[in-house]
Amino acid sequence: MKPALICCVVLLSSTVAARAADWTDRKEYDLVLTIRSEAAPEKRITLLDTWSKSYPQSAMSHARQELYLSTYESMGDRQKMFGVAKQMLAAQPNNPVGLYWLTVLAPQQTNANSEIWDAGDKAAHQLLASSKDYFAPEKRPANLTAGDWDKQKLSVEVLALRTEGWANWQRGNFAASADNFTECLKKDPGNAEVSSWLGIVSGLDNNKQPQALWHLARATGRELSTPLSDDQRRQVNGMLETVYVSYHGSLEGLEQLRKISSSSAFPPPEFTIDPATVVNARRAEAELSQSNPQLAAWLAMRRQLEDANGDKYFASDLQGKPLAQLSGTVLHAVPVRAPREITLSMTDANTPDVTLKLTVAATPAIHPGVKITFQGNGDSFAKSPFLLVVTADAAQIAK
Amino acid sequence: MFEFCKLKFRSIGTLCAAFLLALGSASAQEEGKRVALIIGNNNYSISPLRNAINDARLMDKALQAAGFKTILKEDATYPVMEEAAAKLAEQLGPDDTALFFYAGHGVQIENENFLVPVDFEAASTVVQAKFKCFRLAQLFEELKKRTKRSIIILDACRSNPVAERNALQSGLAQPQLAGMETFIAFSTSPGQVAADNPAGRDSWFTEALADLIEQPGLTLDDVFTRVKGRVTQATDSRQSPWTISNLTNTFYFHPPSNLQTANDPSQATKWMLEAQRREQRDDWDQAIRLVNQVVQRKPGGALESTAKAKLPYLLARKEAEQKYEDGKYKDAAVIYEKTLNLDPFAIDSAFEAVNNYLLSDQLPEAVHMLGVIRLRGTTESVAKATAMLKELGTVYPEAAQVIKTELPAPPPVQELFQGIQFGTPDWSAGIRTAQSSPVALTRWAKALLTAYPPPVDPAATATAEAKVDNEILHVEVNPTGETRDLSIRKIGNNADSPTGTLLIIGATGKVLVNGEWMADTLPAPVKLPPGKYTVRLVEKGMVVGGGQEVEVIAFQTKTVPLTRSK
Repeated sequence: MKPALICCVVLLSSTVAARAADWTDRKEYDLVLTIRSEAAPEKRITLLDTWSKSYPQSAMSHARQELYLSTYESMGDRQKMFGVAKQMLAAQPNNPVGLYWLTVLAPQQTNANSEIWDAGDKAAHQLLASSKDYFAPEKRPANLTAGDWDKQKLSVEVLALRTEGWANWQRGNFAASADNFTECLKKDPGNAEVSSWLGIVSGLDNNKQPQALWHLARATGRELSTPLSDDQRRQVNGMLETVYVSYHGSLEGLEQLRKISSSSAFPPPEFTIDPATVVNARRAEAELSQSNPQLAAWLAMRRQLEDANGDKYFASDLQGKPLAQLSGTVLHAVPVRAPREITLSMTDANTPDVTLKLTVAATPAIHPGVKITFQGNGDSFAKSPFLLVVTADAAQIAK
Repeated sequence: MFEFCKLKFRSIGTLCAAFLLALGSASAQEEGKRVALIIGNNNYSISPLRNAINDARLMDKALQAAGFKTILKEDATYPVMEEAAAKLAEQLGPDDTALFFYAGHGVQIENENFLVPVDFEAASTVVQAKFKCFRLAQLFEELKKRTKRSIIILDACRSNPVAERNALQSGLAQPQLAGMETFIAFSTSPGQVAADNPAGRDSWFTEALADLIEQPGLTLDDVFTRVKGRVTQATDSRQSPWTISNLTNTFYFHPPSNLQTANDPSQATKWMLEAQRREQRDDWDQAIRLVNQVVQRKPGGALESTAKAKLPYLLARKEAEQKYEDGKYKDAAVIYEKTLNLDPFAIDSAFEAVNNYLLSDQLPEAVHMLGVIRLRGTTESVAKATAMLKELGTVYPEAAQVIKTELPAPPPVQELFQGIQFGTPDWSAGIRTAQSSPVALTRWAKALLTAYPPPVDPAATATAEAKVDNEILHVEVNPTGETRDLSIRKIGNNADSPTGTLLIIGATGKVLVNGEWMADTLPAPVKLPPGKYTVRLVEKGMVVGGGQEVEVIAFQTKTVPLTRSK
């Protein structure tokens, strides 16, 4: 026998004995060794349950909860994980492991309710507040570079902001939620999931459809640093097309939007997409300019005159200047026999829109109901009730 | 004495080798045949269903695409169900996967599950009912005997007048797991009944299931977790599919493609789990390959550090085993001992070291290893080591000295789980979890759909309104929508679905069905999916006659006389 070997064993024994006062008894240690070597997560959970039942007051109950967490994690059971994290926080409100997992898992809970929103939000808030401490340089694990440690901190902060945004979103507080997600994207612009969420909350805010469409379109891109899974992409793409068609009237331009949104997490300040009403009006105008160019010209002119900048438009483009050829229906003309002033309805033969002031009286007389074509110069206009006064020569009028 | 030991340990080694060989052959045959029996029962005389056959056909298609040889039975009578079950059993071998899918009525009788054939007639006693229904346990027993893996899927928890009329219990009972390697899924929890899918042609459950089966890279558990999510969401938690399983191996309907594997953040966890299983089977090559993949994936956190620590250990185990196979026991023993530096709790490796030291007549080293086992082993392994030391003590007194040493207290828990830093979050694991489990957006997709309805085509609306306005007198046929499966998405367009006919007679005018003109004059035969409808005579927006409810039965014609009310 080599005496050195025996000594070594005895020495090792005494060292171990001095360190290990945690076990209730040897059977507890046996059980945990069995848990350690169990490869099937389901069986491991059964063994952990046995440990909990047999040793409810174990000095290692915190470690046990973390083993539950890691085992449920390997099973992909997010609900059970969430429950364990809650228990950890109930026992120790600042437990960083509990805080972290509650933050991560709150959005993953099916049928989440206000209790889950609040728990996730609170945990995320605490996590964000403590992130500086958790990721202090002296706590950096030896196997990570300082850069990797900073990246990990950033990722955890993004997760916390994401959960805060998610909680606000579920509560219907879309503006606060959009702020959280915007912060997330500033830290992690390639996060497709957060882009999709920002797209949804913006879409539910009636004034932000173009922005919503930008974010949804970006989220469907495959080139982002954290792209969506195929399943998610399909779902978000469905939402994108729904909102796009409803808002814009058709899928026209969507591919272009996908392309430009891939370049930045946020749309440029001047970014806009025409709503369907504008698209339809433009299309109708185009059709009208083919079939009835005079009416089309009149509608375009009137729209600009009625706009907020109508006065400026009149002064710069119409006043004293020759107008395009227009046509309208005569409502009345004075004097009747040789009129010098003719009131016209340009669209419906009922509502007066234009008064023609003739430099020379028109002969023969022009009677109400007659449709005339004319050219002239802008003279003046009133917005309400709308009336444009045009000066013209009688020679510029044709029936 | 030592000859005895040698023989003993050699025989263990031979047994191990034989076991490994057996494992190898089992592994080669791991993917046997896939055979599925699919039954969809609609045409009950007591309470017909509408979606069960559609569900069965949908599953038939999805399972065929997943490589299953399928046996599809529609509207199966009791003898047909028995015959089909026998046909399924006949085709199965020990390496095969059997799948049974049933859509139709199911009942509990005396806490046992029975499937109701279409030829079931009202029974006067519970015992009679039992003999008229197909006993699920009967199928379980057959599958248990024959297959490697059984998957049972029951969409048989529907609202069930068959049960009510026979004083039986609707819904199914919670089954006991039928045997080893069985997975059972119910469309809803035991004892509950499934919710309707008024807008669909298939049940919520089967629609989600067939869709998810077709997606590559989802394990059986993944599929059902997602089915649960979809159905629970779609039914506002009124229906929650339920599963029970004792499968020990991962099953994929469609294995993951390389691309998907590459993008799945949870893949490293799956590899590590599989590596642990392989390690327990002493399948070192596969375990090394899988752990290597984990290391290369760089998942970070405990997973990466555990994998990095595990890799040299596995390589050493493989090398030690090879040395042993080559008869180089001393070399094997040294390597086995080295593995304890890599994993101090690898007690089986410590025993292998003892074995090999004994085989190479190195008693002091063997005794040392037995002492190490006493430090960290379980009570059982300590007892085994102590017994061996006692035995060795008869020829080698130093061994007895080790026994005299007081049994040390076990090491702290942190030493057992070196990959985990208790009290500190595994940041990488959280990030991985968030990336690998998408947040459900169905509710929000619906909210957007509501907020953004499709634009109305003014021209089409105007034409449709004009058509109705111009019609002075017409007949309207509308589904009542009061029972499951009744809502019709596209009338007359489902060429595959069975239909019945209403022959509308008596009044004049066109026939409008669910907003679409179906006939120009009366009498008019109108083909419709089975279900209940109201038929009424309308003029200038007012109901001027009819109003009766009629039931359309598949393949039957019913005459509906319509007269103007006085």
